[in-house]
This record gives sequence, structure tokens and C-alpha cells, in this order.
Amino acid sequence: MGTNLEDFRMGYGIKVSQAGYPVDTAADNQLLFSSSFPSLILLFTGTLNAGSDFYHNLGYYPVAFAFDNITVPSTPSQSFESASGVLNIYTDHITNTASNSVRYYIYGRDLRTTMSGTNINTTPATQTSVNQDYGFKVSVEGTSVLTAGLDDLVSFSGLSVAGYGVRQHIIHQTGYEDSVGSGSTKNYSHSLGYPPMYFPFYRKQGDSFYNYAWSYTISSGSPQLSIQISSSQLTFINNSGNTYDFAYLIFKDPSN
Amino acid sequence: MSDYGIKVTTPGKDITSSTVGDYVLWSKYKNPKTYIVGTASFHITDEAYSQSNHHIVTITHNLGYAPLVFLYWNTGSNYGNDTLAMSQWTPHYAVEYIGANADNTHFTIEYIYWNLGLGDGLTGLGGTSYNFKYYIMIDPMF
Repeated sequence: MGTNLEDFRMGYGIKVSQAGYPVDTAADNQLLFSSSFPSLILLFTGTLNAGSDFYHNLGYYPVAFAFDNITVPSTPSQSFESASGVLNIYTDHITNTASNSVRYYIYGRDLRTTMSGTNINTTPATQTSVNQDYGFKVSVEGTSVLTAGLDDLVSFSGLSVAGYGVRQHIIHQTGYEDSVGSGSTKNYSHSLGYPPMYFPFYRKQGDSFYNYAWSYTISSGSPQLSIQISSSQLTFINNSGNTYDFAYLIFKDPSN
Repeated sequence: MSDYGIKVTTPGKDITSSTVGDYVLWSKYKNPKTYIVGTASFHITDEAYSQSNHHIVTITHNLGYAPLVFLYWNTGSNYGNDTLAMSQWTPHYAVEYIGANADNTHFTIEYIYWNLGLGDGLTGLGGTSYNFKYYIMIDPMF
């Protein structure tokens, strides 16, 4: 089998566009999914109590993150924050180190995977109005596709009630680098031409777990760890005084 | 019960693979799906240490439950694009707060410029614009 582009030239594969975009001319980031590119698949989700473990037994560090409830100054009805600092991701389990419960999401993808970014079509197609819901819909096991709610769908190319085209997140590129020392700036080029959506992870050297990464600033104002995205690269800046292993996923979706 | 469904692998991967990472789509599992995509911005003009220095953007989703949301931001200068991934976040420690909140019908991005009593004396933040890109998912938060 040849390259992804050759696959489609030879007629192999399957792709579905987002609502309103012609599938023949849709850009890669206007597709719902394509057999040329991997997507995230949700394996486990649920609530994990404080101090508890959930055993996924996948044998690798999975893409995972968690959210917990917090109280914010203006007290909206449900506030939450990324529990990136409290969800420890191991090769066989996750641990909630917070003092309250979290909602976790574990996907079937090893975050320590290298996949080069490829483009098949980067020219955006013009979105047309959608009067009838032609498309693609797959429901979860045991649920009728005729009556399934949005959250009971595996995949769906139609419009949401709000009138937005449902989209899934196609993975463009993944990578990881170990032993990124303090004082280092690491750049990872992508070929998308726009700043994309991404997920970063890091592991402090000496730890046996990863965390979903976030930038943070010490009181003096300079970021200790910073993750930035541009039209051409993802940047990891480590000024923390510690050495980190870093991993990332870059999606086709734009972040601007 | 027979195993009806659909499976699609990536190029070069066997359709009989049991490795989930080899798949684009497998009807046994859900793919995360985005429901609403949009942008928002705040322009900070007032440097007063006051809880009344408060900016808020509200997006209606009407999903009937609080959804998972991914949020990205930039200031155009300081940090470049970055990921919030839904965070109670302090861009400048003890000076600024940004929170992302959701309920059964709305998603809210909120900015407060206030003194938590631990201020580090930072000034010159007036005139900063915060730009956000949000993905409101179909997946529920809780």
C-alpha cells in the first residue's frame, strides 16, 4: 500500500466531510474523519474519587485528562478546571491525587508515539448551506441510530441543534522527546500553515507518570513551563529548574 | 448477539487489529465530537485592583448538560497561543484570574483583575487583549 494520497488515488479508503462541505474538495480539517489519518477513540470515562485509582491496563501511557469542580469568584452554576496537575497517568492506571472527585477521559492512543504530519488537501472548500441532513451516523452498541442522542453517537456528520456542523478531531502529528533540560526551548515543526489545536503532556524526570501539561507562571512573572503554538511549530519552553519528558498530539483543527 | 458495526483502520493497519490506536473509527467506541466552535476576546483597559473589573462572555449551547470544553488563548504577545484546557488560571499570579465555566445551557469565559493579597506588584497589564478559541464538545463534563 502506498502513501495516504496514493491510497485515495487508487480508490482505497473512506472519508466523510463535515456538514456543508463537499467531500471531494473539503480540506483535511473540514473532514469528519478520514481513513488516512488517525482519530482519538474514547475508551474509558467516569468519575474518580479523591485519592483513587482507575486501572486501564493498556500497557502504555494513554492520552488522558481530567476535570474537577471548583468554586470560582463569581459562582456560576458549575465551574471546573483542568485537573492536569492532579491526574497522574501510568501505563496501567490513572490516579486522582486531588482532594475531590474528577471526571476522567482515557483515549486509546499511546502518547509516546511519533507520527509525522502529512497533508492531503490544505485548500479550504466553501461551506454551503445544509437543507437536508445527508450524511453519516453511527450509534453506540445497543442504541438505535434512529433515536440516539448526540452523546450516544460514535460518529455523526450532521448539524447540531445549534446549527453547527459536528466535527471530530483528526490527528495530524504526534511526537515525544525525553530529557528536556531546564533552560531548553524545543520546537516541533508541523506543516499545517495555521496554529492548530493540540494536547501536550509532560513527565518530570524521576516520576513514573505523565500529566496533561499546562503553562504556569511563578510570581516573578516569567513562565516556568510554557507551551506555545504558531502557524509553523509547537514550542516547549522549560525554565523550571527540572528536566522533563515531553509528548504532544497536534490536530488538524485550528486553534485560532 | 452478533457483532454488528463498522471499523476503519489507518493505512497499513490490519482491520483485525485489536489495538485501538490503529483505528480511525470503531463503532464499539465513541470518537470525541465537537458541537460548537467559536472565538471570544477581552480587552483589558482598567488596571484597578478591583473585583468589579470583570469581563464575561457567555455562549449558549443548550445541550441539557454541562459539556467538556477545550479552550485556547493568546495575548498576541506574552505567551503566544496556549492551551487552557478548561482551567481556573492566573496569567499573572495573584493579579489576574480567568475561569471557564459550564452549565446545562451555557459556557462562560470570565476574567477578573483583582488583588488576592499576594500581589507581586505587576503593572502595565492594561491594554492587553486576550483572544480565545473554544471547542464545546458533545461529551458531558459530569
